Amino acid sequence: MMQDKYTEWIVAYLDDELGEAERTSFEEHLEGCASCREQLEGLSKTAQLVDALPTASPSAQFEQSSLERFDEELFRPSASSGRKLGWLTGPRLAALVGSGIAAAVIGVLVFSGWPTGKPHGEERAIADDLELYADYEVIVNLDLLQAIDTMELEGIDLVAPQAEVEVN
Amino acid sequence: MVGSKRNLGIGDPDARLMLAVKAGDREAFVKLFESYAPRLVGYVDRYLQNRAVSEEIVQEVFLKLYRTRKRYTVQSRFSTWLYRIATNTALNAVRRRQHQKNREPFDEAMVGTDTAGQSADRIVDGRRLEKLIYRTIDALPPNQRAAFNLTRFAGCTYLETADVLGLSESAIKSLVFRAADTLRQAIDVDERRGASRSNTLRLVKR
Repeated sequence: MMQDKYTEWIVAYLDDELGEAERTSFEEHLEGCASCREQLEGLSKTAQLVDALPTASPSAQFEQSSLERFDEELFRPSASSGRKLGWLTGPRLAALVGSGIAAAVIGVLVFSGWPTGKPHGEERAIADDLELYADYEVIVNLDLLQAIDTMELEGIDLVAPQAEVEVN
Repeated sequence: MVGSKRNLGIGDPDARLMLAVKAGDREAFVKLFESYAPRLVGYVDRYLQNRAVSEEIVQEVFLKLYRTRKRYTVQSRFSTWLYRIATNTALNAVRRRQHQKNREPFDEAMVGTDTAGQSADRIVDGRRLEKLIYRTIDALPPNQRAAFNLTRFAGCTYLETADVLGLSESAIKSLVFRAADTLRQAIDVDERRGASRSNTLRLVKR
């Protein structure tokens, strides 16, 4: 059992992640344990090989294309709502007005008061949620929905974790 | 991710930027993206080994970051929050790809980027070793893989890794050891096979 503990400390020792007491205890153990010394050597070599692997850098167009995507999907909601209402022009609009639906809508708005400005407080939160759920309905974002669902199903909380209070 | 032993977000300038993002500030969002996206591509690429796919995943990470901004609280460093989303998104992408069984070819552009002055045999050996390391990391259980990648490639301390994965530090010690030991064994076996191959070739050439 003790041997297992020391074995599991080898990489933490190499990574300088042992506390002072653990480090001293491990080094004392190392002096009398050939097996741990051999593993330490092997794992040190492994760490060197892994650390020497090349790291991918973003392509030249990554930043620009990302910012364009963010603007499109996050910061220009009016563009997508414009597309959604794009059919409501010309003859269709005339037909709608003619059918009396528009009159009814206008009547309700006049009766209840025309909405002004952006919603605040709880209304704002609800509006934001609605915006979020509206996005989920877009087929292109199904993967995102699935990923978030998977995280939630697996109990992985998206909320930032609570800070750990150090005992020592 | 360089951080102190204390993981409280108070005093973390990126946490303050994230609070601005929470209020819908595009400029703050862009600053965080510019600051973290390049290294995040490198980190995510450890899971997917394909730069184009990794770039797309990093975009998804920032889309999620913005869409879930209301749930951010300054109780930990911003990077902890970001790497948690990135790790989950990368692992999900790996799972999806394995499920679809349409794995893309290994990104050769990533391999052997500094080969000047090396003999052909050494380059081939180096590439084989890189592929072996990536294959072995690919085959690790998700929690070992995430702990190993976060500590090795994202520069996280064990405490930060524990925060990202919602585990204890001692669990991280164990996970990182098991991942590294699996790699050590795979490299050992490969070296023994390599020595055996060399001996066979020598015998054939005689």
